[in-house]
Amino acid sequence: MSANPTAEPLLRVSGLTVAFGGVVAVSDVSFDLPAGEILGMIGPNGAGKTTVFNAISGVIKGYRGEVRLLGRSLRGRNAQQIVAAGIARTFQNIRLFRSLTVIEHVLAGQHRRIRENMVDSALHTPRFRQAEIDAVRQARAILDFVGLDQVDPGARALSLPYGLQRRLEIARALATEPRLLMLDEPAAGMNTAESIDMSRLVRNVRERGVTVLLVEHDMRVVMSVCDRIVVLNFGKIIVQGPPEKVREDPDVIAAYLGSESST
Amino acid sequence: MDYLSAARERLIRAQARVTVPPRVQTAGRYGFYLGALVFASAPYWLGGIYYPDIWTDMALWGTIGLGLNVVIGFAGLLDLGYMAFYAIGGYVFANAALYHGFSLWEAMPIGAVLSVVASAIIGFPTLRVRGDYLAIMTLGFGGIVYYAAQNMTSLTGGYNGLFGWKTQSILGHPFASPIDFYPLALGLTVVAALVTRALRGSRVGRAWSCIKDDEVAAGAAGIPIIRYKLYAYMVGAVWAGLAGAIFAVKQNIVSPETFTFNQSFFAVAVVIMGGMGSITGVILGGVLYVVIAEWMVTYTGTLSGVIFSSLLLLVVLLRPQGLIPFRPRPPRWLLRHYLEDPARGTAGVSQPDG
Repeated sequence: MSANPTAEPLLRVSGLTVAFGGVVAVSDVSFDLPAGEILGMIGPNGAGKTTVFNAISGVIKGYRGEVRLLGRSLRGRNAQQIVAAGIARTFQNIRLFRSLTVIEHVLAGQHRRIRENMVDSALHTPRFRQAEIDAVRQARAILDFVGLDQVDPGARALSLPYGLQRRLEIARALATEPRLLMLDEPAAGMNTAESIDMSRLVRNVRERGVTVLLVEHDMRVVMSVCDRIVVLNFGKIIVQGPPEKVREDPDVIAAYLGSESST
Repeated sequence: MDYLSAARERLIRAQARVTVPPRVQTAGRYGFYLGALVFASAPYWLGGIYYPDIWTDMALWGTIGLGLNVVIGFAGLLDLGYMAFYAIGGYVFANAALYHGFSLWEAMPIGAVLSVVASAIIGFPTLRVRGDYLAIMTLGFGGIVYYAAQNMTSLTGGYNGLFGWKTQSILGHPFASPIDFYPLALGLTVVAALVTRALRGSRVGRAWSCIKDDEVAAGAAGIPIIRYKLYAYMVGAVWAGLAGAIFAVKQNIVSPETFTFNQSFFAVAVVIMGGMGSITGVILGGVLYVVIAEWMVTYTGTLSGVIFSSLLLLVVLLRPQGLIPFRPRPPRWLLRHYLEDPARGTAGVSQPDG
């Protein structure tokens, strides 16, 4: 564990341990994520990266250890309470809504912030109209930001090409106005040009003031955008530090050579 | 960004592939409205007692379909005990009218409120379970209300049911003949259609769609899942509660036979056959149910249940999205606001060829 210079990190994970039945998927994982940083999390398949994600985002509730956002424990909170606290995420296997259009995905992400009650919704009152129009304006700004400005907002989300679906998932997450955005393999399955675009988007997200936790197999993306990298293997952190240190670490090289090679 | 331009080209091609000219679409829509108007006014020019009665049942079953559509079609939850809320609406009216001297107008909102309360009570524990278990628990709730109706004689009159209240009236015009109930039932169907349609195109409706499609992703979008499932049950229960009171007045009796599991099954069938999520679809489902199970009964006798159920199987096999499928798309006025931003222009979306 490296000593952390900041007093109050945005996210502090300490002693995180998750077991499924008898199998320990993640064991005693601790790291700090200061506000404004892009932290990469890498490791061979099955190293426990997505499990860490699921514990932080409330998909997995039964864990040992502590996850704190600005000092407040996230234990026992469900997924939407964690979103309300300021953590948004995307999924490794893209999870878009099959019956929603592009724009509605962003509106869904804005759900907690759209001010209309059941009566407004049932009668389409002027307040309802104003709330929806404001929401659509914000949604457009977010779609522009992630590079979906040329896409038909009324198109079914699942009709988008793969790369754009990933961007739409990021747009939905950003619409919740998170402090921390967790991206689970955003560049998976992308060619070189596409992953360069994705790296640029991740950096732009940080420019917006959103801290990023990034799980990624694509080393071009990881090495080019991350300030620091945490390396997991068999559910444990084997190294953490800046990219140039991690790249040359013998344990990291062994972990990757000893399993399925990454991209 | 090469894949963005590929997406743009795909969009241009999709928009160039014109299917139906707009003028024909508009004509089709007005044709549909005209047809619906002619059909809805049929009891007035057919006259008699029989047709108004059948049409009133169509309106009531259309309302049942619309209410259950919120639960099944919008939120994607199965409810096998929906008619329990219809029963509550009916029995509340009967008790209020017989023992407390309430009129239909006073009793209907009470029935609706109690249906909503009952849906919240049953919803609170059951909505934490998923899929099959949820279906079983709603089945159990339907059973509880049915057997309570049979056995809690002091409240429900047991097997004999409740009857004998004085004739209801509005503005001095009595509800005596079936043609008097018809506008009331039809009005309820229209209100239910408008309100549920409005909800579908709002923040609530989006939340329901998200939950139906993917609960994990809905949670990640910040939607409170349990609360919105509960809302779906409560909003759905309102319509059955109101329709149940009208049904009681029309029949002049409320008895347990109307609220059996079969009835709840047919309510689910109406929604699935008509088209889950579709407003016109579920109304058509309700109309078809009454046509087959009540109107054609003179010719088909006990076979009518078999015919309706077989039709359901055929629809599920050949057209699983229902007779009039719901095609989700955001409201046009919202998209207009999206496109009409001066800072953006309309390039690439509304006029791709320009």
